[in-house]
Parts: sequence; structure tokens; C-alpha cells
Amino acid sequence: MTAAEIAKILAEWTPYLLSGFGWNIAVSLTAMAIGTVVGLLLAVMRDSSVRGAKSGGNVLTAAMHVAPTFVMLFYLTYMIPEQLEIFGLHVHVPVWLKASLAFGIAVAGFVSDNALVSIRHFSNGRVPEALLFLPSWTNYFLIIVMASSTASVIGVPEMVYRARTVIGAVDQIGFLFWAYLYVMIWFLVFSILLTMIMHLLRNRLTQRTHGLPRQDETDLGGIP
Amino acid sequence: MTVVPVANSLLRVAVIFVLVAISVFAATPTVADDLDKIVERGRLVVGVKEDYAPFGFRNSEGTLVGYDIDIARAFAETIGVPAELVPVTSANRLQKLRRGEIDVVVATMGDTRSRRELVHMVEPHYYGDGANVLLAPGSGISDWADLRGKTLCTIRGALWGRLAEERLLIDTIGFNTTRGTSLALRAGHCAGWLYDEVNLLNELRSGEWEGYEVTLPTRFILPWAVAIRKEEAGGRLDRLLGDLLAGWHRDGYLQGLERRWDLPPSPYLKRARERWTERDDTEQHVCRRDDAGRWPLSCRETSLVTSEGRRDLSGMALLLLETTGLDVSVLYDPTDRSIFLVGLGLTAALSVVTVILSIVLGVVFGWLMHRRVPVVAPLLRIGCAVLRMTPPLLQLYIVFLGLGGVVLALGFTLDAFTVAACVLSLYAAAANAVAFCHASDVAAKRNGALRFRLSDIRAALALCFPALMGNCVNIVKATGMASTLALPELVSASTSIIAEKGNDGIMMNLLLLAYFVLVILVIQAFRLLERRVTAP
Repeated sequence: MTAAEIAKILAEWTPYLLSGFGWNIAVSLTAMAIGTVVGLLLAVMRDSSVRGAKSGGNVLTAAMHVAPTFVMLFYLTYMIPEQLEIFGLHVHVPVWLKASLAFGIAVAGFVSDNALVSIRHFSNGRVPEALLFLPSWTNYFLIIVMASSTASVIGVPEMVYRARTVIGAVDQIGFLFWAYLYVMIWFLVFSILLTMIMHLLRNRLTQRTHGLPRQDETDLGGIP
Repeated sequence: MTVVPVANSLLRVAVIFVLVAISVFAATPTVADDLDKIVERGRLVVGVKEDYAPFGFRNSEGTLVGYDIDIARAFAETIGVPAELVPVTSANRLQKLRRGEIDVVVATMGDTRSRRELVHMVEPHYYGDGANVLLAPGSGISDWADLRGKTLCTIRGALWGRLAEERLLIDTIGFNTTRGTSLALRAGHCAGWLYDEVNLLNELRSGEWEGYEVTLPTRFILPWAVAIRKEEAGGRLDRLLGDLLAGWHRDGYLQGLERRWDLPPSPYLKRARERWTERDDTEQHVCRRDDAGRWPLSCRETSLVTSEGRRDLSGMALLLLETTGLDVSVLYDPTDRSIFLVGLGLTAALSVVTVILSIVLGVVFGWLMHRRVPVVAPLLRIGCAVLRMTPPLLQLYIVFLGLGGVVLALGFTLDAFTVAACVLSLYAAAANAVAFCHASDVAAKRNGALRFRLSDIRAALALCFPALMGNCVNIVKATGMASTLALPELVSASTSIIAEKGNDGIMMNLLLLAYFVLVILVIQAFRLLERRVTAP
């Protein structure tokens, strides 16, 4: 295969692959939504003075930090039936939602910790410091988008999954490497764009917090 | 005078008692069992299929023939009586046996736990069938895991469809007939046709499936058994038939029958022959009966074994299964146990190697970046950014599958463990390097210029210790990704046990528990290390 041939095939399949990336975003945003709501609840529990709520929040948060998302993907896929019966209602649980739940657990653990810090800043009147939660949240969203590629292993038709389909359809020796590299570049472009937005956001906020330590360099600590 | 009749009657009672006792004792070993009845009757009545070629069917002369029929006749011949063949169906074969209308069932019957409640299955099994997939040309599918999220065509109501959905997370669409299914596959409505492996291999031999293939390992193997009445379990008939079948596995008689009836070579019979011909150090068969007449556990289909009053761990696990349905197969099935332990070992080894490598590489890279070494430092910065801003799963694929192809052309093969360890280490090392570089910068600002001395490295390590620990914990949690390279680590081990046993609840909780323990151990190890690093 010549470089021109590879480029032509990749260009042809790009719309198909990018609609797969839509799944990565959708799964990740759903995970962020679920995880943020649960994480905020946990943070409120941990901040309360009720002893049971406090320790309950701590234990749940710790468990969420320990649970590996890759294992949780399989766990939830096997443990949640496709048709769930809730109060006599039959609810269909699609596989992408199970993936969102798996990532949502990690998000909840993260939000629980960071929201707790923000809640305390907020109640002390340090609003800009409390708002630093936002760039961290964006950063975690980026991590979850990276992690969402693993949803391919349970059959979510996201970009890596579709890359495999394309490789099967093209069926040419040597194409596999370029297809995966091409998909990787899309992830990289997305990451760079989002990181730039995050830096902008953080710079705005740190100007107002008068020299709070910038930690953005150490934030990307690998997928949870 | 009245004493004599009393004494006489007492004597008579005593004599009768002794006679009865003698007859009971003497008769115990030779009490009329089914084997006696068969010999006395002068024929062995066997229930067979008449509509299932090539196992039991009628030839052009109307005579019952087939693989099962040959086995039935060979049984009768050994007992020394003619065989009377009674046609049975899947619906009535167990009832006819239980009512005593037939002595033995040899009728393409799969051995299942629920059937074992009703009749006794003679072991070893005489044939085994499983599911496989007829794949379209160029499907690119090399493993069952590749089928997740895809759809398979199957025959409506067949056992395989349900098993594939529940255990392998593969969608299926059911068609009413074989023809409907094959048309749907040709029209591209599904990735493959899920069906009995024997039938698919026969389809392939028909020559109508140019380019199609059956290449996946057999799944859901269902052994076929000869059945007798439950009361005969462990009796003479049971032993006679079991010994005959074991002998036929050993001398290749069953594989000969397979060839005679033009069946495609069954992986089950091949494996069974290996199992039954294996010899131990004393040159005796590994699969031989113990003093109680039982075959060793390792020679049996452990998915079907019952507790049978065993008191050991496996007996208890089986009892748990029988009474509550909780299937902790790693406790009673030696195969599952070794799959699980190998998985656990690989995951633990991968974790240790990855954590150590990622810290060592992270410190070296971080130091070079901190010293702003010309050319090297900027390259490292770019490299670390790329590694941290792309999914590690893709990095694994690119190295293992992409570069693997290049390396293969040079005559080398990439080992999945090595690739996983290297890629995951580098991924975590990138995050560690950035953290270590940052910490070195801070330490240098505080203490003046750092040199590559133990005390300086320790100062920087102490500063970035929480970040390193977080990165390492995350990489241990991500080791499951190595399962996508077909490495038989813990996630692969658990899903493959589920595929055969269907015990997803138990296995998934066991998997999660194992990871919890592993992660907590790693955290504890770091806490111990932290004290040494941060100590003055």
C-alpha cells in the first residue's frame, strides 16, 4: 500500500470514525454527569457533622478510588441485565450506559474529593479558589475521554471499536498500524484543544487567587 | 407338655431367622440388578434416535444405523445378548428409561445437571459437541472477544444463542430454519452463524461456503452421555459400560466410529483420547477408578460433577452449588482453578514490573527534563505529552498489532506480557517523569542546584511522592487492558471461566475482590516506602 492509498482510505472512512468519536464524547459526558451528581452528594455527606454520613461518605469515596474502571466495565456489563425491572417498569440498559456508569464511579470518587475542598473554600468566602474545581473537572473529563476508548471491549461502537471494523473491512497488510495511528492523532488533537481551554480557564482563575500553586502539570495521572 | 410346642415354634423361628439372615448376607453382592435382568431376559433394550443422522437414523433398507447404534450394539455384544433398539425422542427418552421400558439410553443426549436429577449419566462421555461460528470471508475475527457488540445469526430457541448473549456479551438474531439462517449470513445481516460445531463443519464440507471459515475455539462444550436408571449408579452395569467407554477412548474405537460415519474430526474426542491414554510415573493410566470405583476428578467433566458426599474443599464447593446454585468453580474445578491462579499471577507480576519500571523510567526521564539536557529534554517533553494525551489502549494496539507485524516480518514475535509491561510502564512513566521534573524544579529552587545524588533524588521523590503513588495505583488498575492482547491475565481468566460455567456473578465479584486486594497491597507498599523516603 502506498501512502496515497492509505490516505485515501482513511479520508473515506473519516466520517465513520468521527461519528465513533461522538460516542466517546457522549459516554464521557454521561459519566461526568452521573459522577458529578453522585460525587457532590458524597462531598456534602463528608462535609456534614452527622457521624454516619461522614464515615459513609469517606468509605464510599475510598472504594470508588480503588475500583478499576476497566474491571468495572465487565462487572457492570455482566451484573446489570439488559432489561432492568424497576417498580414494574421494564427499562432497557444499553451497553454504552453501562460504560458510562463504570467511568462514572471513578468520576464520583474524584468529584467527592475536589468538591469537598471547594465546599470548604466556598464556606470560607474564598470563591475564586472554590472555582478552581472547574479546570480540574475539565482535566478529569479529558482523562475519561481517554478511558472511554476501553468501552470498545464491551462493544460500544466508539472510535477505537470502529477503527477495528475499518481494519477488518479494508483487510490490507500494514493498514492496521496507520489506522490506529490516525485514530490516535484525533485523540491527541482533542486533548491539545481541551488542555488549551483548561489552561486559559485556570490562568483566569489563578490571577484572581493571587498566586495559588499551579498544579496543571501533574494532573494527568493516567486513566483510573 | 406345653413346653415342647413352644420350644418347637421358637426353634422354627430361629431357623427361619438364620436362613433369612444367611440368604440376605449371601445375596447382597448378587442381588438381582439390571445386568442380571438383562442377561435373564436375553436382550439389552436400548433407546436410540431414528431421525438424527449420522448418530441414529434409518438407512435405505429401514434398518436403524449410526454412531449411537454402533455403540448400543457393542454394549449388547459385550454383555453377550442381542440388542433391541427402541426409537426414542428427546422428549420421551428419560421417561421411558425411568419407567423401565428401556435399559440404556444412547440417543445424542447432552449431559446437564438438571438431567442428572432424573437419570444416571455413565462416565466417560461418548461424544461431545459444542458451539462455533461460521465466519464470513475477511471478517478479521480471531477470538470470541472480537465478537462483542456484533450480531450473530442463530436458530431460534437454540441453547447457544442464549449462552452467547449471557456469557459472551454477543447479540444474536434468531431465524426459524437452517436455511433462513444461512441466507441471513450470506446477505451480511450478521457477522457469523452460531451453531453446533459438527453441523457447521459439515456445511463447510458441502463446498457452498467459499472463503467462509470456522476458526474459533469450540465454546460451550456439551458432552453426550449414555444414561441408565438412577438406582444403577455405581452398580455393575454402570461400571461395565463406563469401563467399555474408557477402553474405547483409549483404543481409538470412538474416533474410528467417527470416521466410519463421516463425521468431521471432533475436538472433543481428540481431547478425550489424550486424557484417557495419559499414563503416570508407574505406567498406569492416570484416569483409572479409585477403590470406591470412581474416576479421578481430573478425568471428568467438572462442570457436571456432584459433591457425592466429599468432605474436602471441592466437595463443599460442589455442595454449595447443589444447594444454593452458587458456582464457585475455582474451588472444585482444577482447570478453572489453574486458569484463575495463572491469571492472578500474571496480573500481579505485570503490576510489580510496571510499577518498578514506571518509577525508574519516570525518575530518569524527569531528571533529564529537569536538567534541560539539550535535544533530549525537549524530545522527552513531547514524548511524555503524546503518551499522556492518547489512550493507552491504542498505544497497546499500535505496539502489539502494528509494530508486531513489522517485527514478525524480521522473524521475531512480540510477547504479549513484554509489550503490555513496556507500554503500560511507559504510559505511567510519562506521568511520573512530569511529576518528578516538577518536584526537582521546586527542590532546586529551595536547596540550590540539584546534582544526580541520592539525597537530591530523595528530596525530589519526597515532594512528588503522592503523585507517583497515584500514577502507580492507576497503572495497576489498568493492567486489565493487557487482556486485549490475549494475555491470559485476571480479566481474561474470569471471562473465559464465565464462558464455560455461566457463573458471572461469582466470577465478577471474585475479580473485583482480587483487584481490591491488589490495589490495597500496592497502596500499603507505597505507604511503607513513603516513610523511608521522607524520613530525615
